[in-house]
Amino acid sequence: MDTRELLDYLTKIESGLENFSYAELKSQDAAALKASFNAFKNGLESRVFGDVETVPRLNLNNSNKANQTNETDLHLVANVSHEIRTPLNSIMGFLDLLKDTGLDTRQLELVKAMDVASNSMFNLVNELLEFSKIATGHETYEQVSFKPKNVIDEVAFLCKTLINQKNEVKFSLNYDSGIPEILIGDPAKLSQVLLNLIGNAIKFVEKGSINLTVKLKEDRSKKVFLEFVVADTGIGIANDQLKHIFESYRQADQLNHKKYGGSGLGLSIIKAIIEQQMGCIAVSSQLGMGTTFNVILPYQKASLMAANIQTQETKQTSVSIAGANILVVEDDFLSRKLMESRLKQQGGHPYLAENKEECLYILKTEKIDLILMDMRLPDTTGVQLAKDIQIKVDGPQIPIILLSADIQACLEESYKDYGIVDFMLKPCKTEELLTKIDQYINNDKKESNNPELTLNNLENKPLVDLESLFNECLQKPDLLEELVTMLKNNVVEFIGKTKVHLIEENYSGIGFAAHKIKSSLKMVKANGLLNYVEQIQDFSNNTANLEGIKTQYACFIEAYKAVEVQIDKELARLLNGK
Amino acid sequence: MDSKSLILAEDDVMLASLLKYRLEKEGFSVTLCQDGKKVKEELEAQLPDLIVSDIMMPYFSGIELTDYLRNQLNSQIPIILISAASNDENVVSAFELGANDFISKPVSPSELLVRVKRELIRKR
Repeated sequence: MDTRELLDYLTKIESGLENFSYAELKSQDAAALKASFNAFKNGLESRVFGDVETVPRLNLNNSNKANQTNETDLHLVANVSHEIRTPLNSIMGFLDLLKDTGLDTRQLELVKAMDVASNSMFNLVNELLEFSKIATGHETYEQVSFKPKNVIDEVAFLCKTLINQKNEVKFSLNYDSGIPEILIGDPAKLSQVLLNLIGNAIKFVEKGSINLTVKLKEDRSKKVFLEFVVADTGIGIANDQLKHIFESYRQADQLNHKKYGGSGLGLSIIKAIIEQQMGCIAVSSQLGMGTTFNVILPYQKASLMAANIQTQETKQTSVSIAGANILVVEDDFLSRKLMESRLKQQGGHPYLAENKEECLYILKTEKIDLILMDMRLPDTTGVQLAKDIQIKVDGPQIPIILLSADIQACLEESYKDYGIVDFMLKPCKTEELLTKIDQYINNDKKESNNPELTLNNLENKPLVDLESLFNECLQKPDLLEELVTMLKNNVVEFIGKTKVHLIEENYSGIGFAAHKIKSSLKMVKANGLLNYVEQIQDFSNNTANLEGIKTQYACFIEAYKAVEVQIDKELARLLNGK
Repeated sequence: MDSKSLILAEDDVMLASLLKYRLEKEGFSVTLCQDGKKVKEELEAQLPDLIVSDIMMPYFSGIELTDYLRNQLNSQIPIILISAASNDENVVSAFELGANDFISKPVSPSELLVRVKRELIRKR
């Protein structure tokens, strides 16, 4: 059989597999099956088309035998690092508790020194763990659809919060508008690479600027090459040291190491991550003038149809989902809670279901206007569940919006028969989500809903209270304005710091950040936000519950958007009133 | 009567700005310190008439500050501590070390003013 014929044949199997597997298999089995199948197909494809896409291992040593020992060593490092992390976590937790036991000044100094030491050890262990994972080729790379602009915006936001303390450093971003809106690749690894490079720049620039430029380097039929340029005006690196910069265990010189800290593994990890995705990284620098890193990474293009789905998003400004009963069927706890808080924020009534059984039960007992359904569920698929609902639930068909991380799933026309009216690619932005919901509920909902009433409902929720703060300012308008600016800065700092600490699993850092923001929130009686912060503080100080923290953190960010709007409104009202 | 001098140690800029404004409005001369190190430096240069300090501060907490002032500098100038509501134990140890008063967050500036004035009257 001709190889090309074989490939055709396999493509057919693939599409067949796609339809059947999700319904019959557990979702993780199906995903694993699909992944292995894809690997097989890709291997074959590369043989036919010569486009070799195997993951290269980090080249640590040239001789084969040495390589083997090296790998055993690396496994050992990985295991040991992992084992060290757990007791280290407890040590850090107990140190925190120790601090609150009425120590005298000298004792407290000693405990704080231990705290600093254990924190840096923790970072070191984390880097080692990651290094060994990458070096042994055990790091996996996702192939998911994502919006590059969103990833870059998030990175830029974080960098701005990191720079917040350094007044004399400016951060700027140039983003090529020709970059496709949706690409396929690993967004988390992309932000890791950029955060690391920009984080380094922040360390080495005392005064000056840091710029991130993202360009469309090359546009081919199936993929694109993006170029990321991180340029700083920092201390620079001498020529003879530049060639060693990507070697493990080496920061440019020992002196720098003492001043700036770190394990010296960062850049070698970054280089490996880039190369394993078939990209490349280069550096140029002039001592005293600054350093520039160029990274080129390939990304798969999403199909034309997929791109269309996203551009269909209508940009409506006034959407109202107030009063609508919306059922969220989603198995992931975090996504479910996030969705709940988004809907509540807008005055909707969310009902939450984790699986098929709960979903059907709620549909039988409650009057639901719209269903948001995840494609992948533990006991069924979104599509299958839509079919079941049609059969088992009486009454008019309830519109269903299907949420999926897989763009292919969004393209099946036949789904429309089961009441699936629309699709959204995960992760979805709040405005997109609201616009879509609005579109499907308001056809019949809007007349029965008195718009003024719903507006009042929202206004009645006192998200913040600037009035008493204004009185405490003795009604001095510019002081109130100044305080509000400080409040916003504090919140941005809290969001940024917590995000960084979350990545590092640094519980004491999170606890402290939460403690700090409380004071400002209390001053404006932002009780909703305060609630989330207190939960975060409790989870980080007492139970080290990372998932819990993440949920509350996501809720905080979601809720803050509305609070900020309210703050600005209140501020305008109070300032104009005088 | 010349104005009373006061050190305000608070690391939250928002709260600090509001309190500073209100205290100055009442005629106090206020030195703002954002961390414990700065407080120590100020104290070494010159002792104020009164100190208002947050308990939880970078480098040098309000408790340590109280201890330092009473036992190292042997000074009896009044200290009012600001505490987060949850830190009861801290407040007890602060009193044991010689703090004069405390006020819980959220701090009402008007209440703080009353307490500051009361401490200054007692001192006389």
